[in-house]
Amino acid sequence: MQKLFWLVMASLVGVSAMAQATAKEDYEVRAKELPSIQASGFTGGGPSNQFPRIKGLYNGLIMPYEFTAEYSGFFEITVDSDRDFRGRMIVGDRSYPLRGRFTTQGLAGIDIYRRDWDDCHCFYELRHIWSIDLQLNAGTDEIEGIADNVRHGYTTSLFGYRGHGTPDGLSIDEGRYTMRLPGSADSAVAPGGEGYGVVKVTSRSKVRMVGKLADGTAYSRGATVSTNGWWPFYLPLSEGRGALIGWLRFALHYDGDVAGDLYWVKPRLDSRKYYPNGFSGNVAAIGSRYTIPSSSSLALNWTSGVFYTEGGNLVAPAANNITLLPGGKLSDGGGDITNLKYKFSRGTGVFSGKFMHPDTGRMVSFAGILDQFQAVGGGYFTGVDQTGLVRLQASP
Amino acid sequence: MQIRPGIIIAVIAVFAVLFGGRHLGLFGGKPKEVAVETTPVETRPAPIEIEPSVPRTADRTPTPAAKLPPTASVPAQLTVQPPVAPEDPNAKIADWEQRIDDVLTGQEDEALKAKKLLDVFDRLPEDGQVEAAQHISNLLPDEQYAELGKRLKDPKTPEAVLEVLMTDVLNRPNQLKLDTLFEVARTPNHPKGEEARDVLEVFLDDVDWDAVKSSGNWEPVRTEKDKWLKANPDQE
Repeated sequence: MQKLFWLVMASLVGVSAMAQATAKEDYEVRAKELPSIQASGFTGGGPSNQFPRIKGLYNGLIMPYEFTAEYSGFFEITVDSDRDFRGRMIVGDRSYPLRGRFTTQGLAGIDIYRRDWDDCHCFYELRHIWSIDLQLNAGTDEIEGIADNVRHGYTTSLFGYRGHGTPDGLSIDEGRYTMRLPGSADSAVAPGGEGYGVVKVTSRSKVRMVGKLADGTAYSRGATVSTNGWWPFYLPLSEGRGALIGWLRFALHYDGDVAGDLYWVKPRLDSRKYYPNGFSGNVAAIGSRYTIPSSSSLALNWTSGVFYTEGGNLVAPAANNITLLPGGKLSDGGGDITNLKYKFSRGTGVFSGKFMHPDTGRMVSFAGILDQFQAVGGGYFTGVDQTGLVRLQASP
Repeated sequence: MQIRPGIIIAVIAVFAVLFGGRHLGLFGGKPKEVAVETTPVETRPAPIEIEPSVPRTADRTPTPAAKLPPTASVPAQLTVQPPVAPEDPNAKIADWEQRIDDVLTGQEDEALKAKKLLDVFDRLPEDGQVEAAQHISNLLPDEQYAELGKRLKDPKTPEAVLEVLMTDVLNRPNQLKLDTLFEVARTPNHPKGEEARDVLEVFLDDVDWDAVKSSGNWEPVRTEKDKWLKANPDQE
């Protein structure tokens, strides 16, 4: 009986401990011991302490050496002048807390544990998930690191920059942009149409993009542009099994004002209408500043042009003559395509509409965006099981 | 390591059966009578620290560190603490960086930290709100987004804070995002109203936006939004 009493008492202690545990978060982050590395050019203490100067919000991408969507993602941390950092990382659509303190050498090591039931669902325990090493690189505004997923046995890397912040003054990249995400003629690499994005950069270098991918997926993402114009873009797809990920840069490119290569992976899904086999490949994203046209001015610098389509289950390319009118409106001059309905949003630069598919006889939707730097419009239309390219361009 | 609740409940249930059975005499004879020593209940409160709300006399103003030395007339345990002015719940927090830091270094879960930051949010100066908003954005799970969404929907929220919140909401699931932006877009004179409408415009193809602008009737947008969300649930 006495033993039983102690057993019950132990149980009650267990209940108390568990109540305490359930009041805490699912993850526990612990600092780990770091090897004594003498990083050159870095000190976090004394009169040359760099942390008050390099504090700020860092964001970047997480990618393994050999790209795998599930092991990729995005991270964002705020570093303060006391060398503390806090934030999170998203890997394969799952979010994990990041917090700790950098050494005076700009190094930090953390272990992330998750509270979980054991395999027999008998005991609630801490499971070691991640072991992460981070390093701030002196004088570069860079942060990099290695993340070992202890649970699933893979390693991925982190790289990012300090975001342009209030101490850096107003952002030179502030403004509206339109972005085109060109596709591929090979449906194993990317859809045939062009995706698009409406981009806004604020005076504090917050960057936001909303748009549609060339397979019809609507998306939106936000991040912070770095002090040197880099924008880490990460869009998880298919619950983290797919992604659109890569670095874009605001700078004067020969063909636009912002550009970069994005890697797009869409896994196989038999029930999906478009591209059920999935695809993977590079998208050479290109964008330019966008000036909202007035109701009496042209959206592009030409009036006579062509509405051109190809791919998307079309037997052959089809085109119509068009005239661009003030305010972004369009007049259909006729051609291969019938029942062309077109509308334009002056505020965003997005155009959309419908036309009759020349081969199937069905009305299909199209959408895209104007690129004022290259004076073209690019978008996609929905075919039977593929999307095709829509292009608005000046007459040759 | 903790024990699963089911096991604990089972153990307690067994104990209850044994204990009840023992009282009912199921496990042997009567329990032996034992002498039980009882401790008299102390009715007096233990010596306490006295925290007067105001100094008792004009010539006896306690200093912050003041503690009366033990004397013959004053018990040694009795200490006098200075009056502590209650914090004005509406006053701006001057040392906001420290306050945010205190919350972030706490041991509670991330969502609770976010809630604590939201609790003091309105008392932070604008710079503090911007920083707090950035932390809340990282800490607050989607299931508890409503509290943060209120700030985004409020046209009086400082624009620098709205910038952080707009960036945050675009990374949230479609249901949260579109529902919140719908409210922002239809709020008159909201600084982010136009941008919210632009986002909705990209997502919702079949809305006649010119008609919405001219009539001010947002019901067709609501209908189209709900239709879109039904056709495009957040889980694929």
